[in-house]
Amino acid sequence: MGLSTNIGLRALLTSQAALDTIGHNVANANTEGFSRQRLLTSSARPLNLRGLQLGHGVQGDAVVRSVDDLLNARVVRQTSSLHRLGAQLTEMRSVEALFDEPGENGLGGLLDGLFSSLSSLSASPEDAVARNGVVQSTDDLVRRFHQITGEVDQLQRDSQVKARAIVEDVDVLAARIVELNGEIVRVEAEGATVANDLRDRRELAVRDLAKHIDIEVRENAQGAILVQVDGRLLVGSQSHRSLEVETGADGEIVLRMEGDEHPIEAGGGELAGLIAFSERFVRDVASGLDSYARSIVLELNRAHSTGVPLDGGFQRLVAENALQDLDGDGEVGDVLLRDVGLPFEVRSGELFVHTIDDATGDLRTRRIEIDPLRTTVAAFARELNDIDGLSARIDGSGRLSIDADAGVRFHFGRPLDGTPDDAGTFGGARASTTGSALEPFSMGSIVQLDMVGPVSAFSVTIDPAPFDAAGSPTAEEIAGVLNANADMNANGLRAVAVGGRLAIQTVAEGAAESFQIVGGSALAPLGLAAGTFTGQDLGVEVAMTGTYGGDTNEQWTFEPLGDGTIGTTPGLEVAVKNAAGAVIATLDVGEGYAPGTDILVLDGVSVSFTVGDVSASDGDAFSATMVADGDTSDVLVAFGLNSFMVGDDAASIDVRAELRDDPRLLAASATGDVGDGGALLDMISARDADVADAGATLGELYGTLVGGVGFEIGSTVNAQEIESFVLGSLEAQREEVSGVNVDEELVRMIEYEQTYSAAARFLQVVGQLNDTVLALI
Amino acid sequence: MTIRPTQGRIFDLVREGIRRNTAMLIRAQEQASSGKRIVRGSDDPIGTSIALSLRRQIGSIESFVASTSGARPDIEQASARLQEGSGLIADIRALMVQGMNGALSASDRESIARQIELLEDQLLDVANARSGDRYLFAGTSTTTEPFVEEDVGGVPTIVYRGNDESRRILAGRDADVATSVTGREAFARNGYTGTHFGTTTGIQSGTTADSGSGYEELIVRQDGTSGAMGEGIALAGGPDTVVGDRALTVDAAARTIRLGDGPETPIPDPAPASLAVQDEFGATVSFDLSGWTGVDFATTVTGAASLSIDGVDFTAVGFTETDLRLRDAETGATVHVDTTGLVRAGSELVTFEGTPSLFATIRGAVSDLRSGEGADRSTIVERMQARLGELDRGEDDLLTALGKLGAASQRIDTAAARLEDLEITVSGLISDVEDADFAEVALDLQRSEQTLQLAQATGSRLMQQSLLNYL
Repeated sequence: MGLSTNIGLRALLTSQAALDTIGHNVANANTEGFSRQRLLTSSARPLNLRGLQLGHGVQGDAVVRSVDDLLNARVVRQTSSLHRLGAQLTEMRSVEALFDEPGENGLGGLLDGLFSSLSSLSASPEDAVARNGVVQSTDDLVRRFHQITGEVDQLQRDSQVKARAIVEDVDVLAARIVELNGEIVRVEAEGATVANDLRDRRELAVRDLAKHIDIEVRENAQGAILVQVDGRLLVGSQSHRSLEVETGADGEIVLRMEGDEHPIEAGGGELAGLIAFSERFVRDVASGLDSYARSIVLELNRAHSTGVPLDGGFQRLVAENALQDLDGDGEVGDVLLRDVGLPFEVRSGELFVHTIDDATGDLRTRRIEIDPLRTTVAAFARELNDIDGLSARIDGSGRLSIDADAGVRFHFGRPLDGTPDDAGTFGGARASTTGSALEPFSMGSIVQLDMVGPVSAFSVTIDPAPFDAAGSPTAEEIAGVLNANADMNANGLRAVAVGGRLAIQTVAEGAAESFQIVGGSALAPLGLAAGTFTGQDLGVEVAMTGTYGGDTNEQWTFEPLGDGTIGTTPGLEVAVKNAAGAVIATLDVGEGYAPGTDILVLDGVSVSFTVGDVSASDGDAFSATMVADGDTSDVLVAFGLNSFMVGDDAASIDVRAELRDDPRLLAASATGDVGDGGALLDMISARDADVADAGATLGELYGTLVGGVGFEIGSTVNAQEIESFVLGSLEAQREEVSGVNVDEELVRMIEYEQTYSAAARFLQVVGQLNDTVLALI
Repeated sequence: MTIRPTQGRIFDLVREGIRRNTAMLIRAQEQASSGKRIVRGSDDPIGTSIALSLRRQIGSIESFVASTSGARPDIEQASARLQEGSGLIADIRALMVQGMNGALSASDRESIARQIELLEDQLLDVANARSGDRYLFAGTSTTTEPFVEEDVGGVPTIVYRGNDESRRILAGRDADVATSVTGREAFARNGYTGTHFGTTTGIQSGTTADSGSGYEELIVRQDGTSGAMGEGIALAGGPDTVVGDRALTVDAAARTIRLGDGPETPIPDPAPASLAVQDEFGATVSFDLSGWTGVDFATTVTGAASLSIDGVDFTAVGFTETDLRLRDAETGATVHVDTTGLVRAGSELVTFEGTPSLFATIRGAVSDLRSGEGADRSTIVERMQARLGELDRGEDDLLTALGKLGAASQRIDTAAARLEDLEITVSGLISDVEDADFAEVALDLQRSEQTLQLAQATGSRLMQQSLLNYL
């Protein structure tokens, strides 16, 4: 009987326990991280009684959780991936909002606004209001640049703050895991049971931790878990370590384990997202903005630096950019232009400096050759300083300043010299001859030139050694030697450089003037011919008009193809040669040409000759410089001379301060005439031209930048959707394994309720049996 | 493994479904309220790129329109002023024709000259027209007064001080439009074609070409007459105008005296001490006939001459030079003349054809009208005719300049119209890329609304399902 009672009692207790478990499940149906529990039952050990194996009822073995550890590990990993993307996306969207594209008020629209105001000004370049308009719209653009770049910086700093908050939470979670580890080990060691709910809580903490940073989890034999981050232990069985957030060199987030030297490379979790944002995304956007700003400054300054302000030239110019003595010897002058720390590159090219005498209106042009690998700062300053009427120096702060003498102005534009034959070497009234050889002349040894002037016969000796390039003197240098000669002066003779050739002529004009070249070893290298040269009463006057519209800088040399009188001699022609000596045009100036009328040479430039005799046999020639770009070397842009904008990145880009104060300084003109807008047209053309070294226009650069941000966000959104779907299905799977189905529990409850009732009934029956037996007594 | 749904899963699904559908609803609502399909770049990165590049095109168009709207008032004003100038020239021309009438008295001519001067002042106003602070006809030297009076060789002359460049705007990539004409083009073009001499003195062009502009006065000065005289006939000593050799025939029977092929002049009785005899060219020599013996006489008289075009330096001529050079240092003019045809002294108008400015022509006409009583009327008419020719040429230049402005204006109009079309097209393209299709958005909105309602409905039904309902 005892056995039956026992069986009944066990059944009751077991059903009770099962119902408790069901109650626990139902109660926790909505508890996060809760895993469904189940009472494992088995039939109790049977008894051998009276030769019978009698069953001893049911017994509850253990309460087990329904979990799939592998699945949980995958959920943990997936959580990290998803939260990395989420954190990154939130930050990136903030950056995208800054650009405000596509729309009217983005940088693209503001740049269009600037070009629009430049166009307005080009219709009336002298208009003060339109000049202010250009400064204003440039100001709008640079402000937007400052705003965006400032906000991007701020977002980067904000991401640091977020990272710090997350790291604190990591600390809390790590501490909780350590604590739970302790409890679980204790509980499981005592009763050899499984600490179901504690483990659930620990798993939840691990999942929360995975949201912040990707982790590796390993369980030890005692049931404690060890958590690693990037191969380093974050949570041990007894203790945990903290993470630290630091600011990197470029403002990016650097994550470090407490006490560790090397930073942690986070592969997932919100921290990884924030780091990726602060490091790569911000850097890409910032560098895109910087190079966009830099390109705008470069292209606009290129056109502007060779422009001429409203006053027709400068009295004084000071460079915006300071030179740096990068070789550190305390002397900036000996540094090559390449290495002097300028924000923009100096190229190999040429700079044309024009000086204008206010009183006479005389225009003089000096060409300075620049090779960043050879030209030093001092050499460049010296070349500028050597120009009559200009003085150049490097001031204490490393800035180049150019000052003009009183009554002289200078600029770097592209004026056309209206009177190219000032020296009168082309049919002028002076007795004159021009050599056919082009500089640099090749002179191996000391040469001499024998001449007979009105006063005496004499020789001039030229030593090629002392010249800048020994053995290859220029026409200017040879002219210098000749003009320093006392006999030349005594005989009223002088030498001039004509388009890289040497001309010798009398100072006085008229048919009475003459001199003779007898011979000498200098004839061959200079291309001079022996002979007697006589002046004339009626000198040919040469005038040029037009605006040179060619693409490259040219030196045109005009030579008659025969001897004769302008407008009279049949078939008289003038050949126009470029610097390489190739004939680019032949002008018919013989019979039928009306002297003084314009003949179009090429590229919008016309020339006219008045009546007079020209002679090929006397070596008549003159040359004119055609400037398409006053500065092909970008040296003005690099030094920041006559800039439109200053700065070289998104934070430093700005309107040149002097321009803001005095819009008259806006260099709209290319020729120096107030109504000319050539430099403005160049600036406007910069919109459609490829940016140097970028192979794209300004607009395309910006499109790439904005499009890049859009693509990045778009692809992150896609990735997030995919990861989110994967996590969703993993969680669905986990829910299938561990989730509580209340209906299922209810069915079980009814099942156990009935079992319980049945067991109770059984006990009742056993009781009746007892009563029956007792009634026998 | 059998599918084991749980309540939690059902709730999750319902939640997720509602979240997703609400997000779609919000997106559709965003598009509907902003009218944009692309609200932010990441909505459609490719579309954004396209929209940006289309916007750049619009920007180019707008900047051209900005420059044309700046240039157009100037073009219109310049055209109006040139039209005014053309009217003034027509008036001046009429007055000049009127002034050529031989019947006019000196005071009539003076009054015409005054009227022409007034009109010239107005024409100068036109040439120095300003728009705001800038001169319309000074080329790109817009702050320089283009036409000013200066003293050239002692003569107050209107000279051009502007330059020869046109103002330009950019009409598109690498296409610029000139928006101004220079004062030189309109009022003082140098279209030199050749040198024209008057026919009074018989001077002709030399073999060498000339250079110069405007008008010059070539003075043929008679430097005295010589000849072997006899029969009591002597040279009265001037003033004579004969230049070169001329036969002198005195016919005693007819009592006439004849110079060259000129008319036979009767010798009055008593024979005068000074009788001016004219040859066929109108050149005269005065003879003293008071001692005439009354017999026939024939000889050759020769008039010496020298030439000058600046009125200062005179060059004596030998009547054999075919290419004598004369220079006016003040104006820089050089002419080469053939002296072999010289017949009489006088002042000859040298016209560098195609070069005189309107002002030079008008001033010349005024000075012609005012020239002294003694001046040969036919010479004046001839000069005036030469000036009229130059005036007509000048008017042609002015009209050509007007035509250029018209063409510029038309080009701007055409470009503006084309750009307007382009703007509409491009705006349409931008709209295609950027803007929401409202029909589509409306459908999207409706669809997401319905889906949401469906999700909510099914969710609420699902959530109510529980075994508890039956226990």
